[in-house]
Amino acid sequence: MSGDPPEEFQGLHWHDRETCPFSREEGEAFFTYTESDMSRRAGDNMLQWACNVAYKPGRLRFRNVRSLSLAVRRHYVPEGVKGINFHEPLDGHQNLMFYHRDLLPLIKRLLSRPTFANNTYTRFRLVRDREGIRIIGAFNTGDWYEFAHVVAQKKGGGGPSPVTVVPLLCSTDATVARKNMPVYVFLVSIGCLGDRHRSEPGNWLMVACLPHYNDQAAKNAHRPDRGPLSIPRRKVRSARAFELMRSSVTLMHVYKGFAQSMHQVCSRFDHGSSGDARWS
Amino acid sequence: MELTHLGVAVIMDDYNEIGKTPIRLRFPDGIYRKAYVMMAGWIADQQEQDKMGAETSQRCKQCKCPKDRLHEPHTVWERRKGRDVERAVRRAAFEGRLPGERGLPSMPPLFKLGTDPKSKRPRWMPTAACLQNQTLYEKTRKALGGVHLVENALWRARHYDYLMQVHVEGQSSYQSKSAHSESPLSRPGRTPCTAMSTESLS
Repeated sequence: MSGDPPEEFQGLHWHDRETCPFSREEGEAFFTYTESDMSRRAGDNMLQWACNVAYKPGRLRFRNVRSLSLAVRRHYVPEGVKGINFHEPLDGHQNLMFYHRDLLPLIKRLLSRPTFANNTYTRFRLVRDREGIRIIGAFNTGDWYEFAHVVAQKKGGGGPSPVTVVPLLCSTDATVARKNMPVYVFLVSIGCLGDRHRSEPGNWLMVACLPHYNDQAAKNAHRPDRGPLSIPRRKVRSARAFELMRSSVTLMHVYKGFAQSMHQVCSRFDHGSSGDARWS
Repeated sequence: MELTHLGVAVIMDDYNEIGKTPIRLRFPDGIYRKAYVMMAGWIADQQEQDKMGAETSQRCKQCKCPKDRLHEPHTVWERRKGRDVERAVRRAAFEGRLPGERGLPSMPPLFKLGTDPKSKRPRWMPTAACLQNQTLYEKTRKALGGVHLVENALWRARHYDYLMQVHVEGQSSYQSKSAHSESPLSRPGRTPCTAMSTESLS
């Protein structure tokens, strides 16, 4: 085949093979193309859009980056993913969206992979050696599984068919995706996969993406340093005042209307600072 | 930290909902089995464990080893229990009682149960006493051994003790719907933690 390396390099690791036959300019162009965030389809769309004779910059729907990113989020957040916004005015200019999805579809999805057909633990096994000493090896031979098995039978009501335990394993970690994009992932796997499969990264599914907190942005917005004291002090002095504000409906409406009108007034001049109006 | 726990609490509520009763699941071999989803463990590095425990990093997450004896490898200490931590934190936050106190509460309550206005989820709102006296929070935290006064999302996980990382006999009485109506300290149905209890096996 034409794409294969020469014969003397066939069995070698790609580090040991000869250098890339591209010229530097070609390599850069190729690298830019493959490493770009934009897919080929999206690039074609954008080109087609820009070549359209009807295109006029005045007709652009997205006047600023904020509305563009909102539209992108609307388009590209996958199905089934729900978002909660934990942002408060004192958090400043940062995005504190918490994206999560349901747990049960993930468990079903893991259990639907035919690779695990002969490798799932469904029953507790008590393993002993010849002298009758208990051996604890695989996950379903341990104390935890034994105890969980008993609890599950109790939960099942003692019917004829045994209840299988599906142990849920959770994990959180902050990692980096694509060089400069920090993500704080919440991963979930199930323990009834075989020991070999459980450690594969493909079998840990992302159930949520926890928001990062930008301390500098909060500091710029004059939030007090204490972490847990995160209720904005300007708007709500205490929990009692907060509840009073929530309970009094008329006041609330007045306040809401005021906030909205202020938002409209402010947004003519500045899009960034007034977009986070809490009550609007 | 509070942000993380607010987020994880959403997933934990989901998990509690699944884990109420055994459900019918199709396993990879094509057989439908009654399955009971139980949380088996939390895999994280030390920073994450600190964050999930809402604690300082200078404390053992498993046993009651004091800080100046952490270097002794073979000394065995009593295990810590998540329930004890939860109880101490709730007492300090909502009643103003520090651990070891038997008399009247020594300080005004620092938090009150409320609702997050945007996400409509239960959340601990600081009271006026907590907001006005900034050192009070740190003092309380120090008395609790470095645990932040934050509602830990793992407290509500059914059948799971976040410090012992084992099963806990009995159910967590946390119900997200009735969390506001009931007192934050009354947790009926909670039995003491028995890890690997033997009487249930017989």
